Amino acid sequence: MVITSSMLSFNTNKKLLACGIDSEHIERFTRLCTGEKALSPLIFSPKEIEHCFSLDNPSIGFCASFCCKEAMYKACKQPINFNTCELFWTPSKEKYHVTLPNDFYLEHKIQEAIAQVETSSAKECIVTVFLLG
Amino acid sequence: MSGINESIVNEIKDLVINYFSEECDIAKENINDSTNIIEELEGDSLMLLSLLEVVRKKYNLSIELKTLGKHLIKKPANTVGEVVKLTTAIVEHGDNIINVEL
Repeated sequence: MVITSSMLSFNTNKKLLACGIDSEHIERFTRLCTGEKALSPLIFSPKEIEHCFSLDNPSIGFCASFCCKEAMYKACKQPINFNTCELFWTPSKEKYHVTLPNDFYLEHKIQEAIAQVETSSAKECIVTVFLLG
Repeated sequence: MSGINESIVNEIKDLVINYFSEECDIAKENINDSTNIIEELEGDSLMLLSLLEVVRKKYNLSIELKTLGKHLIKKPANTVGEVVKLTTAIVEHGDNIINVEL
């Protein structure tokens, strides 16, 4: 994998509490899109599945979503239910956003979660999650 | 599912070994209980979660990843044998696995 540089900027007056990162090869998720491998409800919510299949490249959607969940787990430093951490692409804003249940924020004492998604020339997806409070 | 019998245990072992054999493109004869998932099979979380889904569908299981994760912190599964044991426990106890001493 080759990543030369990455930059994230956002306006916030919140404190950075934790971050996590994960990367996966996008082609590993192609089998999910073709139905060759089952889409696990333990990992992806129904809304996420519908969202990813609506994208121009569902494989990237599923890959980014999975990486986001792994990155969130690493940031929280404890097990989470993957299907409650959802990642969606908003075309109008040209960015991804993370949705989490309200009790997740309370349990982990955070106010906001931001995900940065990048794809490398080596056809990998890299997601960094930032937890703010 | 409680009190699973020996035939189910053997079925689970075959399922796990067949799964890794196919995913990792390794002959079944070269996979045994002491085979290390990460070092020898280049396994990762995605592979293990896919295995969990296969097992979940086959045995119609109810388990949360959070529960499984907490169990794995107490009792990691690094070898095929440990994955078989864990899978058997999940089939037998479901979400109650967190309360089971293995």
